[in-house]
Amino acid sequence: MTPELEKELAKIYVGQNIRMNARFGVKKGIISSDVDSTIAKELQSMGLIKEEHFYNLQLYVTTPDADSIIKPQLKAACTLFDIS
Amino acid sequence: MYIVRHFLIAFVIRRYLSLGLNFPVEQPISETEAFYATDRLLMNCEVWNFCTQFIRILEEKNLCVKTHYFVSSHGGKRKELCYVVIQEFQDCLKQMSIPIDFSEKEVEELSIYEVLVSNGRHFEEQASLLEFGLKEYFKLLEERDILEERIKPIIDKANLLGLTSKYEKLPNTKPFVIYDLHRFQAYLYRELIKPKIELLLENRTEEFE
Repeated sequence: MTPELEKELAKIYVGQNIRMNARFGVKKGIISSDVDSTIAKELQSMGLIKEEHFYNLQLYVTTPDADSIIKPQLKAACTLFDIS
Repeated sequence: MYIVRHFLIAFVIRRYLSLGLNFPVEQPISETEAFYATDRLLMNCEVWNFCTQFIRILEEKNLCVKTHYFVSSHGGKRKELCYVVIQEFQDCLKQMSIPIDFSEKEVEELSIYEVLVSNGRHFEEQASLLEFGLKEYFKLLEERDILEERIKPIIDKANLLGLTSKYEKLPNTKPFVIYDLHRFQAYLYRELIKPKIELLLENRTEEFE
């Protein structure tokens, strides 16, 4: 995977939680217009993201395959921030 | 190299990142945008600059991204741009022991600020929506677990400055009347918010690479 694909995939992985604290109608996903459309198509063809809908809005969410690639990398980055 | 302000880091972690995954991209610039007292603290430029500097470090490490919030109204609507922090980072933060925080009294004062600012217009001399205003006021007090006895000294001090009437607990009547809402809000800022900003910006700094 190229660095550009990886960066956009990480963006979708993190950004899809934008509404996870909403009181009503919690919906996972990042608005498709916030993602580079060419890269999104490529990630979709690789089975790493899929399309979802929330009313009229088109969203992207990561698939379990993508999560298994991205999650360990970002989790490792989290441990660099030991502020305690 | 970073300059660490312990209280500010603790503030952004405890009051924002540990509670939710979102952080505003735009600084709140008016009382109406700062519904929560913590957002009122962010209206201070030094506090805001520090918090966003910290958020941008997370962004550089791909632990935080900027994206638009969205809501279901109007058939699905794109809203303001927000920072979103990775869930796993929030989980790490929850496990960390961060000993610095506002005291219980200070947290209560922030809640009192929210109640008085969001309800102030109902208690202006010319305000007529008495029943609705009172209902809202007591609902907010209950939600935030604040006793009226804690409000009274703050209002009575405002009374000495000529900003309000004295606080009186009477049935179906405004417990106090605000004579000048603008000056009353400035008083609340001075009494309840400014000391917290000074605490956040206290000079305990150190450098690390």
